[in-house]
Amino acid sequence: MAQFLSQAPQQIVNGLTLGSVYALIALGYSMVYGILQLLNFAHGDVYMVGAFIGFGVLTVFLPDAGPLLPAALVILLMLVAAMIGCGFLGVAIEWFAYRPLRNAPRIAPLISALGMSILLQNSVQLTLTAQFRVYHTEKLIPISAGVDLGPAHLSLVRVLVIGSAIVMMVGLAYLVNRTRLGRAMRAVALDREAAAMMGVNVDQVIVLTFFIGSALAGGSGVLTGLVFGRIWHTMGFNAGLKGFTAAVIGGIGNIPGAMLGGLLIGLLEAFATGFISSTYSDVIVFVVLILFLLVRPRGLLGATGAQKV
Amino acid sequence: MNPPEALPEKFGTDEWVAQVDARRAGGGWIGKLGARWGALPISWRFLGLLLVGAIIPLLIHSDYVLRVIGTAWLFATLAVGLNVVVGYAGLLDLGFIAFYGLGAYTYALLSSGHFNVHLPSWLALLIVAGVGMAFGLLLGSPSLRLLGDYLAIVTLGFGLVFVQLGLNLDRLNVPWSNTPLNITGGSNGIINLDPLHFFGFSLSTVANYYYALLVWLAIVLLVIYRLNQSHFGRAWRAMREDPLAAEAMGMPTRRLKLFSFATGAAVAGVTGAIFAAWQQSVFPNNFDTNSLINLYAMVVLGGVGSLPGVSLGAGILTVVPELLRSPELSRVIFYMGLALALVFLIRPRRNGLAVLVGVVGLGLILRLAVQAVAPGLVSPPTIEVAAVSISSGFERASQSFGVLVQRWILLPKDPNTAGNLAYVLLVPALLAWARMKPSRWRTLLLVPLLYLLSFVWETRLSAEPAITRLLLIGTLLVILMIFRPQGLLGARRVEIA
Amino acid sequence: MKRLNKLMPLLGGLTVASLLLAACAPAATPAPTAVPPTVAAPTTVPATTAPTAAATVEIKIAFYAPLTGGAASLGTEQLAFARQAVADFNKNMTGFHVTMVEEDTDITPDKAVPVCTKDAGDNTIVGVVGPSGSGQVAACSKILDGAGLAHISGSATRPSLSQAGDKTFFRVVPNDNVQGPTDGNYIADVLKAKKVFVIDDKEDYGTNLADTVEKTIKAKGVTTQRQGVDATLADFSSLATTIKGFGPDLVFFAGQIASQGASLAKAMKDQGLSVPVFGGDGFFSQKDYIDGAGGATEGSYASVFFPDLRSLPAAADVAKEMDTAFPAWGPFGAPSYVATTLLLDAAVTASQGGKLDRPSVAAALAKTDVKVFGIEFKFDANGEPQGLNDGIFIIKGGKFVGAPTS
Repeated sequence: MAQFLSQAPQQIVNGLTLGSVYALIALGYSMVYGILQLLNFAHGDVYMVGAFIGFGVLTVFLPDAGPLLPAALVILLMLVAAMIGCGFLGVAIEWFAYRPLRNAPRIAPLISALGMSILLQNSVQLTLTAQFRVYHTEKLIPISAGVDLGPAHLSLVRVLVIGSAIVMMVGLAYLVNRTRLGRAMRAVALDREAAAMMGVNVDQVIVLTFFIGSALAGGSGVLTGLVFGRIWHTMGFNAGLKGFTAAVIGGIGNIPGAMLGGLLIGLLEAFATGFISSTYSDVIVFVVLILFLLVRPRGLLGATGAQKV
Repeated sequence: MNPPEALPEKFGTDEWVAQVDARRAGGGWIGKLGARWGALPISWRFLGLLLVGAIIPLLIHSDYVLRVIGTAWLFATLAVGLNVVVGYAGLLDLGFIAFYGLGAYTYALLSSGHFNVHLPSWLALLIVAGVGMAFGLLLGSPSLRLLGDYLAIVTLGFGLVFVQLGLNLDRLNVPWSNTPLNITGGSNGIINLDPLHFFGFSLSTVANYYYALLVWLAIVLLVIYRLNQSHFGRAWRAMREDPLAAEAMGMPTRRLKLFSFATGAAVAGVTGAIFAAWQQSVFPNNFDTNSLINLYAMVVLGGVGSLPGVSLGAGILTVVPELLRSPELSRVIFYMGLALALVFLIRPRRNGLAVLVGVVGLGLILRLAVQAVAPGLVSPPTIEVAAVSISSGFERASQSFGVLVQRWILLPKDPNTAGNLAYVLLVPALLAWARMKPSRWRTLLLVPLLYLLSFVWETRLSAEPAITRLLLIGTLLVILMIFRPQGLLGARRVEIA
Repeated sequence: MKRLNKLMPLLGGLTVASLLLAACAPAATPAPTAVPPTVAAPTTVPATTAPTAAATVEIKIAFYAPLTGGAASLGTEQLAFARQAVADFNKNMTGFHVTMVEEDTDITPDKAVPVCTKDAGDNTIVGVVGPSGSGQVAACSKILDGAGLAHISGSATRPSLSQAGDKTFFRVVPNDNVQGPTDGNYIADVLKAKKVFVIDDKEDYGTNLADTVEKTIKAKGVTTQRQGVDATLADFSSLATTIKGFGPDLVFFAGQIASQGASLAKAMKDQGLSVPVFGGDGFFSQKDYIDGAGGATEGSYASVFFPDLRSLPAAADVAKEMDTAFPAWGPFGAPSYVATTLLLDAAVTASQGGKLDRPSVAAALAKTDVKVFGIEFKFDANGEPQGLNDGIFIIKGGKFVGAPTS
């Protein structure tokens, strides 16, 4: 018990870091599902591309000697580049693979998404090879920088990750709840046809949703690279799956739910690794997902929608 | 729209229905051939194909070819099993590969030195079928409550959990024993399985297993076909098209769903057992997500819901990647395929031929231009034609073809960078082209597009066959869903929202 | 027009057929222009200087490695080195010309079996370099041995492989039964660790190595705790917290991806835990394990089944070539180079003895006694290399140096 208590604070820190990453991915999933009822399998791979874009920017501005610009500026550049790049990538994916299938049977966009995911993964492998790339974060932010909160050590990088995630989530919440665009998004999510009849440009809203969701995933990719270091072409699959788990647990289509779900999954994984076994941590996460779906399919914060016939 | 051709008189057929049938039949000699084939009684067709399958080992003695075709039978059986769940019942099961793996592992535990249990094959297979059914029911129970996408994720989760358990259940700490329990052999798998033996005869050679798999495929096809023709099939179709209406009409949808899961799982389980006996070993990575994607690609390509379709899809996606293993052969197939597609798929025919000539001409012009201006950029052919002693005539022919192509295309000194850039240009160009409306521009733009494609092929894709194969599968899935969601032999479905 | 349309398929078919026939035209002699060996490009088969002698003996071998999939970074490295070995051979040996068929076998046995079957039936192939994975060798041994096809592996280290009794399996690296006790004894006797946290990567190689090491040190009274991690795990912070709770003197990480070791070291340092990491072969990478850790791996160890090429003067040329051809090379490439060279050597011996076929190549390989990179290679009756040992290295001052033996 004493061991649990002594390790728990650090595991909480670990879990929150991981959870922030998952939450950002989950947001993209949730938003797209809310609007299109589509499981965007390629979302995880957009996250992966974001990590690589960030790596590209990092390589340009961080030669062996040291950063060419102040570290904060480099990180900001990486985030902006990845977010914009992934935003456009998401829009492109929607245009190519999902828009022609708006009225097709449900299985069609799902298979198309699967195909898109395979395409992305292997395109990256073809052009950038299967080598792991490592973010040399320690050249931007020294490893030892951080604060000690009791038995837990909160490094600066983690603060950065959690902080950026919070900023992005707050920004998104503001966008969705306080702006006209956000109102349009909520309307389209509620009832696409009615929103169209009320004069909302549904296509534009969908494109913007994809842009924002993918941008968040791209940002998450860069943050992952910064804190965990290693990126490779298949990292999107697992992260995407966990992100989806988070979205489901929080209540799919529900934005605060996605954030909550992400943090919960991160904490769950950290605690499972720490106190049960890292061998089974993935298994535990998926078992939790399955149990949730069986017991409470609408998630923690989701609303029971009446099914229209 | 083609005017309806003269059809055999169908008594009482409405004219509009007759027109639809004619349109479905497709034009040209392929359509006619298909119509003649379809007119034969199904038992004739079935027996005919079975006979062809049975004769092959007598004609071809290469172990390798028999192994490839045997694998095609294996995956065809799996695809038929998956078809029951996805095609007939309309339930998206992304963990289907776990049933396959479960069957394989159950057989491995019952017929090997692992726990020193050596059951007679017929008993082992029976138990495997039973275990498969049980797990099918288990996995199917969430489907009663969950809608399409959620079910997909839950089953995907199951599939992943299965692989993880397979990898990790080799050192299970149990309270009643000091040494950890080794159930699945972990990443080392379970090896030295008993081969299948029936009536004293032990299956050992590739040809043996080829026939075993063919027989099993035939049995499964028969059973599933009869099931589909029966009231079960009708009920499944009704449930797939509109579950609410089906339930309102009094159909026991819960039982139907469970039954479809159980059937699919049992088929997959026994197939897994045969696979394990054939490979004489099982490893957790035999059943990972890649295999699942492959299986789904087969089903989708062939046509969800169509028995001959999924079998055909399985055949294509097993044989073609094998053909693509050798860079030279895959090059020949690639260019021949392109040329044939141009000639056959573009109407009027002269346009297709014109595009072909255009691409060749564009290549020659570009090459001559660059060679005149900056000869240092271009590299001479890098393929060599092998000597007579170590290659067959066909190999040398394909290598010579490769040399020819490398003289035609603009082969850069550093193929990697140029190829990667071209690839990044190619993918959006290809997808954008696919979304264009048919017009003169579209045909014209095909010329530079095909040249770019050949360039990328020569510089990057032919060098990485495994990645190319996956890229092709991904592109295939996307393009299929957009243009032909019913696959090759499926029937077009309209979902009323 | 309609008639023309009907003729189109025929014309198209004729065009294609004539193109093929043109390709079949006597173009059997390769282009006479000598192209320098383009080792940088994975698309090209290394071109050679045109063989001048009329009676050039052709040798055809196959090469198996994971060129895609989870172990692709290792497989592509092995491929690059094997290609270099072929290029060097073709350059230095007159009268012989080698063609290498490269096959992607991924890392799982089921992907290797069809390839092995195919090549077993292709009588023009006289030897195989590979397969890379121990599970793959186990799955393929019956097929390859049944065809008498000699297969020499540069990375399969499972001990049971050489006990199968076949006369065609060889390897150029010591197996886990050598590496495990070497590492274990070092940890227990030299480093005098009392508590060790053992991690494996849930793969073939890592699990076997971790098993042998754990057995060795447990027998010497060391307390251990064992966990497995995915080869794809990037976040080691939770694991680091667990390790901190266990309080070991050393962490043994039987993994193949050096950057994972670096990530673990960084995560531990992040949480204030400074315990050395002892890694397997994959960790012997300056770039990933040392530079990538930003100093966190200072004082950590790696045990390698092959000496570092940079420390062998006889390997200076090859090392330089590979720096251009495959800059990120680590410990996995050199054994492939050696394996390829030994196989080609055996083929030459067999051919000079009069017959270049599978049995004679296998027999010649068994009698190998050759120096590559200044190291002598000889096989025992089971195909195990004689006299080879694993090297243990420690990171001092940001570089790998030989670890002190006491």
